[in-house]
Amino acid sequence: MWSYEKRLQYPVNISSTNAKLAQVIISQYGGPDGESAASLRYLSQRYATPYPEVAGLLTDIGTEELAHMEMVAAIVHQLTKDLSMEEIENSGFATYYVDHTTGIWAQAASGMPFTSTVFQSKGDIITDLMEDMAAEQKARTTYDNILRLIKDPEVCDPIRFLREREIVHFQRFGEALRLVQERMNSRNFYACNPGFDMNCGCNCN
Amino acid sequence: MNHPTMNYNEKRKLQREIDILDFAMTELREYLDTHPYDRDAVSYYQKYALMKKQAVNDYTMKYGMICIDTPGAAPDEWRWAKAPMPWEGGDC
Repeated sequence: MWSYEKRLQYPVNISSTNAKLAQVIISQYGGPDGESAASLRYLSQRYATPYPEVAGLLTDIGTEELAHMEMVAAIVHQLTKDLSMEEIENSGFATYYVDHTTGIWAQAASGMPFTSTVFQSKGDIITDLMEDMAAEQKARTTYDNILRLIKDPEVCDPIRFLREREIVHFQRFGEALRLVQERMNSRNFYACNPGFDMNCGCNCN
Repeated sequence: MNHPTMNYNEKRKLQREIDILDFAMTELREYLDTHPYDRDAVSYYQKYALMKKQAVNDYTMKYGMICIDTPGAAPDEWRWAKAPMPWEGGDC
């Protein structure tokens, strides 16, 4: 269950449009390492962990990613608001515009539609947490790449906030992985899957 | 003073306060999930939760509804739908 707050997690106030930049930043909405994939990844993985702290962390981070999705969408929206036909034609935005006008649609910068093939929910919490740590690093790199393309401080500011969250989440997932491994057989973490095999990794519960 | 600019600044200040308190809570929540026995962090969480509740109440009374469970005092109208959407900018 969720409840909405009518505010962004961190403010987005962009005064000048830039359709070129919007086409790149939209990758963090619907692209391979974007916020939608992050949220759906963590929220889907929750069911396969028997450890409430880890399910709780996946819930809380998955929820924060929903707020990030909204921030990225707000950035793209403000960068494409009131575009002139000339700006649309000159910025390469026409290919997006023809299908979506200036509406928000989940796609990668390349135009590839949002797809769950970019993430896993493996039903094995060690595997899933390893994927989650990699996902946070991939998103961090994407934000670094985006930051190299931005000159406008009003766009930089919320992007820097989002980048920093990737680093914090990487840290938190690392701690969750440690908690899981502490409950496993220290001579062989992979002897069984606590989300599938009976009496596996439950010595601390 | 009831100058519109004054009100706007106060509105921004309250919005910023809510953002900051909620961010502190998000950070603490994610930390506490894997460190549930850190008593200092638990008490910080409780402190900021109360402060956020107060700030949301103050904001709602003066400027409109931002949290669905904090309707404020306006029985004559549905203020939730009337509040501007956050992606329209000017919200900080």
